[in-house]
Amino acid sequence: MQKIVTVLFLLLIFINISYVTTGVLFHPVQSMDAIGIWFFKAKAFYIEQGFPNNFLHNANYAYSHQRYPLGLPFIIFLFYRLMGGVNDHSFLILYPISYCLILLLVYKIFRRHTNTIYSLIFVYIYSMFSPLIAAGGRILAGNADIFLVLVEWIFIYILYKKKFSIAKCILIMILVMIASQIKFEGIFLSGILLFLPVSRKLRISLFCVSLTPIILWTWVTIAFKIPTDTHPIVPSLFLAIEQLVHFLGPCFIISINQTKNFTPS
Amino acid sequence: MSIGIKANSIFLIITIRVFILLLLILMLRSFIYTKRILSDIVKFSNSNSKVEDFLPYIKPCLTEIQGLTDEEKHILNYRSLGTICKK
Repeated sequence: MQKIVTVLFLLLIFINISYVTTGVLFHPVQSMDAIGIWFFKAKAFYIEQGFPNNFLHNANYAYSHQRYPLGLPFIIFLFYRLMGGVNDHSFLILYPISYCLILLLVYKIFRRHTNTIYSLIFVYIYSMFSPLIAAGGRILAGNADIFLVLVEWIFIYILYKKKFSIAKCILIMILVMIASQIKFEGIFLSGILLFLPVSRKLRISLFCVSLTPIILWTWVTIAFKIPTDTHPIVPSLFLAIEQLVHFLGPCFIISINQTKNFTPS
Repeated sequence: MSIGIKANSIFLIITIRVFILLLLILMLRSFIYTKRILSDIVKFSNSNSKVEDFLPYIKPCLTEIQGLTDEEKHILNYRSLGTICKK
């Protein structure tokens, strides 16, 4: 009975993997975000053979969120260079591979807590999630989200290890930095760095270093005057912090001056 | 099920049955996926012009549009990137 259940769920998982793979092989890029943002920016890199400064200042492409991080388009651009030309369809093969890697990581993590059959059942249920299947090779293939999910599962996989070394902390920090350059949402992973089982000083250092790429990118968007799009979440956040500093700065100076002038009676 | 689940309360029995029902529904969806996979493969193998139909970067030439501005030409260049012009 156990063997039958194992084979059945392996077969079902294989069907899902085949489903996402055939989606990539036999269907073109369908996601509007993929066409209009990720592959489009990669083409901008390809046309300008480097940092797409003209593209990022062109008002015609304002819809493509010019302030988004350029990590994924840059990787696609490197893929184009490797292929010797622009070919969106070939890049899509990375999506079923990511889907398989995610399922493998999920299985490995479940396997630490339960037996093979239950692990396979839960992996199968997880593999059936519509957004995951869609991003793995069907209608949402070409989007950045699946890479973020993959990074998050690698993150969980490392965190579930029994022994925790400084090298792993640094690896997690690098993953946070990569995630923040795939999408802005990736930066929220940095919060986990504050709860790692290491010294407080190291935690805060890792947290601060992990913020470096996103701060640098925000500085680039401000310095190069890249126009903001319809979702200026991070610029607004920085504006809010800046206003807070402007408000608190004078308060701080006034309070220091008052402390200096203060003489106890 | 004889794979180790011991039902010892009514709540647990109901939970297990709902879980099995969920699995059956998911298996039904997998069956639909199998049908789609097979139809994709059959469509591909029956196609006379496999490359043209299934490799979307081979597209017919874009017709030359007259009187475009520089910006519009730029957009058209981006759009046609990755296509192989087939005359």
